[in-house]
Amino acid sequence: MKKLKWICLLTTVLIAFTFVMSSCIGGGEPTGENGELKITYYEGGTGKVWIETLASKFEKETGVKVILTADPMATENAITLLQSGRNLPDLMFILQTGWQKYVQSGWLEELDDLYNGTFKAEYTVGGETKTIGSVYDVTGTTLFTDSGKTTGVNLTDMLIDDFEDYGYISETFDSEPHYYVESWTAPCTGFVYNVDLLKSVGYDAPPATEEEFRECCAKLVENGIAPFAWGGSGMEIAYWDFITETWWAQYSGLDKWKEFYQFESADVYNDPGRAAALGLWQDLIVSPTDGSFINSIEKPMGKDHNDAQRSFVKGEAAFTPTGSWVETETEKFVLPGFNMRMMSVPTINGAKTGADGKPIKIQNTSAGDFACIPKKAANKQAAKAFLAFMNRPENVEYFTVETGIPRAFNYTPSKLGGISDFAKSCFELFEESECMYQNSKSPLFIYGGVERWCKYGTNIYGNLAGANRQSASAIANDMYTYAKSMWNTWSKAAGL
Amino acid sequence: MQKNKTGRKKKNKIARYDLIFVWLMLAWALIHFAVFWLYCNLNTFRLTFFRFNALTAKYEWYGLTRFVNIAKGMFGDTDIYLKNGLKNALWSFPVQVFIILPLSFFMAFFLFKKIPCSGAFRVIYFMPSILSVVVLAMVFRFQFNSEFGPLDSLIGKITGKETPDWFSSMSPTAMPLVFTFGVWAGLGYYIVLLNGAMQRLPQEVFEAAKIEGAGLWRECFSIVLPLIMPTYSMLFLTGSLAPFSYYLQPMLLCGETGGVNGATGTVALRVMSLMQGGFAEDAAAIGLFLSLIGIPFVLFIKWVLDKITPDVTF
Repeated sequence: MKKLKWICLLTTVLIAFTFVMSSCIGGGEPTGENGELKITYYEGGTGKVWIETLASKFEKETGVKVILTADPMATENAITLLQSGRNLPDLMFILQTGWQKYVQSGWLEELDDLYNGTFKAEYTVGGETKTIGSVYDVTGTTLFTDSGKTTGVNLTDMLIDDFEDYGYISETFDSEPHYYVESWTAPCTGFVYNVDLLKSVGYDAPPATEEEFRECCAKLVENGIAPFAWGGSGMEIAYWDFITETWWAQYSGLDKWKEFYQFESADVYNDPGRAAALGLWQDLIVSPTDGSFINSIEKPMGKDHNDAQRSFVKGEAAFTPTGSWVETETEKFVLPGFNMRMMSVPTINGAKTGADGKPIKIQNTSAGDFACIPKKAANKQAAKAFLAFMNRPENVEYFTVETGIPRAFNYTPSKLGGISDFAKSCFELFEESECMYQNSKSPLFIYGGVERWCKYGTNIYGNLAGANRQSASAIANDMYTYAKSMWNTWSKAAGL
Repeated sequence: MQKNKTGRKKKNKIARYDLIFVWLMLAWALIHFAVFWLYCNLNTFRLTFFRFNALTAKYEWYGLTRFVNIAKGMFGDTDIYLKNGLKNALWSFPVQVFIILPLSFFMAFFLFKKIPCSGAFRVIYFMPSILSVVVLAMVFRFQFNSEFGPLDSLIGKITGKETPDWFSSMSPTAMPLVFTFGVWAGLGYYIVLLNGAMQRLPQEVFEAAKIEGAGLWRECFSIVLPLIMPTYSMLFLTGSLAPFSYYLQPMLLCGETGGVNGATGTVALRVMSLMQGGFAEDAAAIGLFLSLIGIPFVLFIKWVLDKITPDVTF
């Protein structure tokens, strides 16, 4: 009996000891010649070759051992990781999410020195000292081909104006603002089209206007080809936002679209461009007689974006709403010779025109994906060094060539060598168009959870279809009415 | 006298050691309870009454506003996700306790009676329980795939009509299929527990029943069911908790968003998506609100079950 007691006691102590010790894992000092750098990244449309290559180059230059963790749920898991402060990576690359709350909760490290060019880290590799800093020489690269800047530039100089202050906020209302995150990707989004299918119905170039687009869809249907491959089973239905938002911005003007996201008052919802954009979607996708889906692959609502992309690359549809990541995501099952390009979203009737009387070319991006360093990370210096290394012009260009996705830098990626025709089509649109960057500093947007399609969210497309569908204008008006009724609640929730 | 004193001292020492031992053993469980249950739940409870002020980066008093909003959302028209989520979640209760549980009982009974091939059936029914629900959901979805799903193809051939978009939130087939999947995947677990309870029943009872001329159904309803009622009640009670935690099946089959207007969502799925979206306070408030509804509901069921469950143990 006594023996049994001792065994029980010992077991309890051992469990407690293991528990306590396991809590300490991940919070220790960096090890190795110049330490270890743990990076967790979202595994998705960017693939993993880019980070494996950059990590390997970084290891050689600094002697810092890089440990990579690919996580398809990195964005969803970030909040739990940061909140717990345990087993933290030193650097995270995740998709657009409410990172501002991470800052306000004191979870993120400041990146001011990285932005203003004062960051410098020295590493000794094989007796030789190497420096990684955040002042760059852009000579010999395609960065700044238009501005003519060459040397001594810092990150704020290199980033496009809209994204220069993306990560710049205050931890609290009365504190000084700092940089906390850095933009990671700036994918082009819109319609990707199957070149050969369009040619088969007589289109050498994709349709540019609403009329042409409607006509093209009709021709495709006549020839037994579904115009659109899309999936609506989960968040994927929101891929349509890339298109409808572009139509909205075309109709109302880019400035008005940007104004919307500043949420000055409920009146921002009273914008005819919203109803026009949703109306065009409804016209193209929903049967006016019974509300079923038209111009689409079979049973789109039961498909996710992978199913839709598979249908598209199998040649079952001519267009798919997606982004420049589609090339990486479909590379495993695309057939040789498949020919796709990104196209400018056809101009909606009534779109704003430029000084030349022609419609303004607008390109949607989803440039909110970002990199951040947890405040409690073990090796913040190496994490910053990696970001500085990644921001080197040659590495920005490498990233673009490898992934086919631009970053929010001032450069002309279409001039890069070694890119695919598809990537080139994306980059040309990126360069030729006025780009839509959703960069709101409004507390209602950041903290209040106020959405573009308030009350409906991604349900908006479902409510525009089906037997009980509503008209686009009715939904747009309903959103405006709802916004007015909820404005005080939202403001309160946002801390205003 | 001296000997008695020394003996008492020794006894006291042993008693003290026993006490220390008991407390040490209890300490682990108590600390675990205090940290991972009490603290977490109290903190969750507290959070529901506060909101994060973005301007001051501090939590401040928010009162009952969240609960009012949840009530309006669930029973009014302000949150269609929550309203439909509650409706779907409530459906899981009858499915769990009036379909899966009775079916499991019959299956377990027939396995207990060693019908031909009962060994094979045991494996067939229990197999889904040892496989990951994610794998099962994939297999189930595959059956209804419009391109190569055997069931989809079969139904299409039999009816001669175009099959529906089975798991689309805009299709009336989605939630019934989710519940059908629940039946398929959930039978094994109940069967094992009920069969285990039946195995413990004394054989003499059945021999006596046989002598008295009891048939199979008589045996089933008049002997087996009453005798395993404590196990059945316990499963009924745990099944009645389903509406508060039902999210995995609809999420895996119909997507994590709950579909158009929450047509394939549940309240628990809403809680999960709010958590992932960083709205922990709202998620906590829904959880607490559900507890407020759920506790009396479950207590009532327990009270009814206690009334009708005979006090038998084996």
